[in-house]
Amino acid sequence: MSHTLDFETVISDQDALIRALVRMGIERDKIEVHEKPVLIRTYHNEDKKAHIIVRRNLVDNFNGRASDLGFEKNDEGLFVGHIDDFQYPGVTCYNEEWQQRLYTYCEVETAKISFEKKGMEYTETKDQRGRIQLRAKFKVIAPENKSRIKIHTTR
Amino acid sequence: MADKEIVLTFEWDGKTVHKETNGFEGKACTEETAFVEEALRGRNQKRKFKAEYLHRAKEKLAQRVRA
Repeated sequence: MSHTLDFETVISDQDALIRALVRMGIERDKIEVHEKPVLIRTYHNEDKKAHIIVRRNLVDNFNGRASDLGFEKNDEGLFVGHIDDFQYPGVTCYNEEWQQRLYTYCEVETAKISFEKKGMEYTETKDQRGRIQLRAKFKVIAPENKSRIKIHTTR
Repeated sequence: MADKEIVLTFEWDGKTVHKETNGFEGKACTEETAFVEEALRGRNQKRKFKAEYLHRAKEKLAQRVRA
């Protein structure tokens, strides 16, 4: 018996976000994590704060970057990205495609973390359409072990 | 008995995930795999059950009507 379910997601797991940034090629030691939000530098010099930050001068891949990359945790516990999507000839920074890849990796890492917490084993592959696929198996308790489980009750 | 497993497929749009479960009996698939949806904070949920699930549900309903 089985079923399928499609749903939309949001970013709420800090570790998943950090793991996703690393998968996007940003070195872990260049990702700042703050308990309280701190100011970041944006293209228009707005007063924006973030908990997770990648400073513009710490990432070598995109020369000409004028903004920090920041993620602020809102009152609902969800991370909101402060991301400037600007493009120079020959240099593309944090555009829509980049952001979609990041958020997809966030989902993948969030799911992996939920499997790890349950002690489940999983594999990551790609399907025929190039989409990431996670396959996780539930641990099966052998019948002989099941019978050994003792249930203690207190009155 | 088949192994219980979850298969997640991620669209590259950064917000859509397809979840498929195999090896479960009845509603157990929804209950036992809810933790993944909770982790991903699923919203605007649109359930699409496989034909075998719908067939079993129809049979159960028919049995109740006959009883």
